[in-house]
Amino acid sequence: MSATCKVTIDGHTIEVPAGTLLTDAARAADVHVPIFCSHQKLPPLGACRICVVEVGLPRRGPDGKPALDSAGTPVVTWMPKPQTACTTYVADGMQVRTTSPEAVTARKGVMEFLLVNHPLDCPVCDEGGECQLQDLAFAFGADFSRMDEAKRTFVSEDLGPVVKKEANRCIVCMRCVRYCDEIMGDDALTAHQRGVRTEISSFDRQPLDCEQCGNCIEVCPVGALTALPYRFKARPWDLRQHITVCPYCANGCSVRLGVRGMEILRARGTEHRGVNQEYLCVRGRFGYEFVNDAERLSSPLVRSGGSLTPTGFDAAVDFAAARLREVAAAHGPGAVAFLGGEKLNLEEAYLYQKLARAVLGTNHVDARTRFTARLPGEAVLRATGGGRPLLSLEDLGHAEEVLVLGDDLQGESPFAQAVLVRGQHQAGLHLTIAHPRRVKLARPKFRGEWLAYRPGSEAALLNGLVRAALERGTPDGLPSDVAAGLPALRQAVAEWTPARTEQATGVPARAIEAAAARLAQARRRAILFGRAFTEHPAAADLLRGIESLGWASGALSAARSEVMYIGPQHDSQGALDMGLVPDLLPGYVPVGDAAGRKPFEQQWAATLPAEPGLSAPEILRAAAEGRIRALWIVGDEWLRSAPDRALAEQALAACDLVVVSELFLTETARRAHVVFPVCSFAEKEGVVVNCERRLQRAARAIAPKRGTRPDWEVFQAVARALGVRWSFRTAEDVFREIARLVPGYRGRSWATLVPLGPQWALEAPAAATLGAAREGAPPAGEGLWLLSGGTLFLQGSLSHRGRLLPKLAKAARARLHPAEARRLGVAEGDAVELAGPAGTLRLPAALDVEVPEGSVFVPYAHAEVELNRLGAPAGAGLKVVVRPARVAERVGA
Amino acid sequence: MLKEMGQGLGVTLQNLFRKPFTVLYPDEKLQMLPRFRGLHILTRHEDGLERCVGCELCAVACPADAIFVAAAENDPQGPRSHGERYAERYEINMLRCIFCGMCEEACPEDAIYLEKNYELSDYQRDAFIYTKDELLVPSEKAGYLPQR
Ligand code: SF4
Ligand code: SF4
Ligand code: SF4
Ligand code: SF4
Ligand code: SF4
Ligand code: FES
Repeated sequence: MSATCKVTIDGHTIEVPAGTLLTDAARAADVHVPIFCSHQKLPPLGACRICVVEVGLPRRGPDGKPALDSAGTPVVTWMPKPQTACTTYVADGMQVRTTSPEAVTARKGVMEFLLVNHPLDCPVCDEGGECQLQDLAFAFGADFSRMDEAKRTFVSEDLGPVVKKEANRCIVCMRCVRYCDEIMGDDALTAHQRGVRTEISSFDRQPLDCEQCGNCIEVCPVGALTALPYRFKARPWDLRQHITVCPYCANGCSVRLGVRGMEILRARGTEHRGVNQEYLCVRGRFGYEFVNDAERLSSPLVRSGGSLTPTGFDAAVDFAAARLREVAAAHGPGAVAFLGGEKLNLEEAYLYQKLARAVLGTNHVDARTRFTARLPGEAVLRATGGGRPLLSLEDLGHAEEVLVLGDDLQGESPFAQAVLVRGQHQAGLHLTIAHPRRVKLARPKFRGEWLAYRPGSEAALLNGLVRAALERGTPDGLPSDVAAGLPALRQAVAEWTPARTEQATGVPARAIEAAAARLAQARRRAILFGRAFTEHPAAADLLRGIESLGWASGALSAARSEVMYIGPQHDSQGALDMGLVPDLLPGYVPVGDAAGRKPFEQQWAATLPAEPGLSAPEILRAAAEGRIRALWIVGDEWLRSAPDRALAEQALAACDLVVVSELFLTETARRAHVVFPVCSFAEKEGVVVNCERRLQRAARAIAPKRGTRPDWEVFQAVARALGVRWSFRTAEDVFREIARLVPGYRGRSWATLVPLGPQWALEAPAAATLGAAREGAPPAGEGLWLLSGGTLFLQGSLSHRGRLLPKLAKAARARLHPAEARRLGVAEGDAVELAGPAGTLRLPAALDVEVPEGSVFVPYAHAEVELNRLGAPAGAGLKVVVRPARVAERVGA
Repeated sequence: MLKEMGQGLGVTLQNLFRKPFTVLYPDEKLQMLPRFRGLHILTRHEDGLERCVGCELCAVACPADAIFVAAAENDPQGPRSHGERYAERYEINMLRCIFCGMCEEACPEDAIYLEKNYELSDYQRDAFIYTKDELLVPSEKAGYLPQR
């Protein structure tokens, strides 16, 4: 069989790979074949029959060659009945007719059947104007109905706060049911009854218990499922649509914002566009509410006397610049530090560190404010292969074996989770989830392996896996430096036999060996890690362990394999790339490297400090101790994100100058001396870099709220007030400078970043640093391990501002294993008190078998949870004492 | 030459004694033809509920982009229209309107008609944005649909 097939569709002959569906071939040939039930991410089903076409195959003679008629043209045998194009694979020589009388009549008939029970609802239907049924009925249907029987009717239902169901309009294409099952892994929807009485609903007809992503709404080709938050808000023709990048996680989904006037009314995915296409998680789809929030700051604030007073922009800039100059003059540039920036666009991150390094002369820059320990800026780069190309998320779904280390992807990275679920469902991907809790992907239905390691034993687990992987032999194609380092690595992890690892981690020796074997033997393999490891007190060790595992298992050297870092924010990767770390200039150039510094010094016309600066946790301490006297914090609710609340309060009180760039008057902003109101993601343009290291350009969807500016304009204004001559007029100007200067970004052009930008890689990857991970000292004291993690419905302080997301997230609970709760004398809903080394936190308890005994799980994304009040984790983690709060306040379950 | 002059004068004389075509507006007003298109009305069902459901088809059909509609969901206790949806705001900018009647043609609910009122003048431009209150017929005219 040839690898490609020649197909003729309505006279257009094209060549497509064998195994292509006729619908896709038709799209390639620019012939319109209507579809309802077929979907690019779902296997063919053939439920709706609207795609019927006439199909013929060349008749073959006895010699197997196409038979020719007297004129020398191949004889075609037409199939006796029209075929559904969405379930028919192309064959060589296939002939297709979509406009023949037979095809047209068949389609018209199908349309008549689809409309037999369809209500005349268009005027009140929210799908109207973008309804595929409307469009196709207009294009192919009859303008008259022969049905005069009564139509079947169903009662409409609200399936929870997101999905409105109007079953009368359903054409039973099963897209919603299949998407929910095969891609979301939620199985929340089903079809009740059969035939004409088929009705889509939840199994128990209760509100959907699912991720509330609204993807069922997105894929529903008609108005049977519509979005309650957008109900009757507008028609498609009212909306200006702008494609930007979601600000809620590192996956970088393209979000199409629908704007009417000055208000964002909805967000959608876009078929055939972006990394995500139609997919959006609940945050991306419904998390835009904060942009229109009335409490947004609209004027700069400057502290005068005891309070913050609204001021003009220029006055605020002058004030900030004058005070920065004073502090730097009195205490040296090392007394100024710059924090935050993972939510900045690439250009802004670049200017932020340029302001710190070139204008003020300090290397105290760190975007990673949550970190509890110093982590070399290069650690993440090395762990992911030193700058070697990464896979796309799409390709990740075609891996055979994926190991997820420590992250609950549902909270941290919902799209990556959907990619893995789909891969598991459709492409035979096998999941290994290393996580103390049974997170969603570790549930039995995904048929993976759950490595339920004991909290605090991450290092042991990595070492055990490295050893077990090396037992399988040396992977092929290792670069020479890695190959040279392997014997030493072997030695370093020699003690981590499966038995010893089992003892340390609680994961059965067999499971460790099997996981390492799968990883080492799979043809395409991937390892994912994220903030659970980078924000660990022993992060530097753990990342070295991940790097070693990546090389030992071949995930870093095999074809179509990778180690991927999923950062906590949408531009975490960009912030790293742009040098928002104390020891690296943009493009991973060490600050101490005089030759590497040179081009930056020339371009920036400044002498750059060669000493690495302090990292975020060190800045926190230095500021509290008065060694750092001026802080600039951008896009970061630092009081919540700093690892130690008490220390952060102390630091803010001790500083002579605190500048905060924010959208809202957060707790941190209230303690500032100058507050700059800035634009939200929807109000500015710029590049963001997702976890695939893909550069994507986000468009400006609405004009900035009056009085706000993009962050980079604030940086530029302050830099100019400090006497340098920056003259960037647009974010693109800044990007041009980046493309001139920054390794990995050199030669990139702004114009090529839409619709889907390239993934960057370094021409000369960084050298590897192999080694075993040292175990952190177990935290002092008694108590339960504090486990924390992201929540699907909330991410960051901006998500607290809307109404829908906090409502979906419900109140935070301290989750305990029922056995643990029994020991503590706690019942569901009881208030419990968590006492850490530095403070306490009160929360209602919830019993949850997915949390291991000996630990308590508290999600960190809720507004009411400020885990850093308990004290900073150290060594291997943090232990808290949990006890029932004195008064047995029963909180409604 | 005299003949031609006589002819011309003849026409003048003829018209001098003819009944005039013009009317003395505003003392006198013309009877409009049934299909005349003047200021719009929004009609009501017999039960007094608004016919308009806020579907915005008129707005998208309007070649002059004169119509603004913002829909909302009916309170089941006190619905404003039949169905779940009604026009919370309905505005026509009569300075933009070209009286083409496309809105009337597009409306699936027989909710909008161009009626005979042509006396549209004011001192302020803002006043030409006719709001729903001004366009909706009074409840006494529930069930009224102009004959076309
Ligand atoms: S689903 Fe489409 S065709 Fe059906 S009522 Fe809604 S807009 Fe009209
Ligand atoms: S609700 Fe929509 S997507 Fe689901 S089966 Fe019906 S028409 Fe298809
Ligand atoms: S998966 Fe991440 S990027 Fe995509 S919509 Fe959700 S939060 Fe946004
Ligand atoms: S009459 Fe024509 S121009 Fe005037 S509002 Fe209607 S559609 Fe628009
Ligand atoms: S007047 Fe008619 S066309 Fe216009 S919004 Fe109302 S129902 Fe729709
Ligand atoms: S699209 Fe082919 S059967 Fe539905």
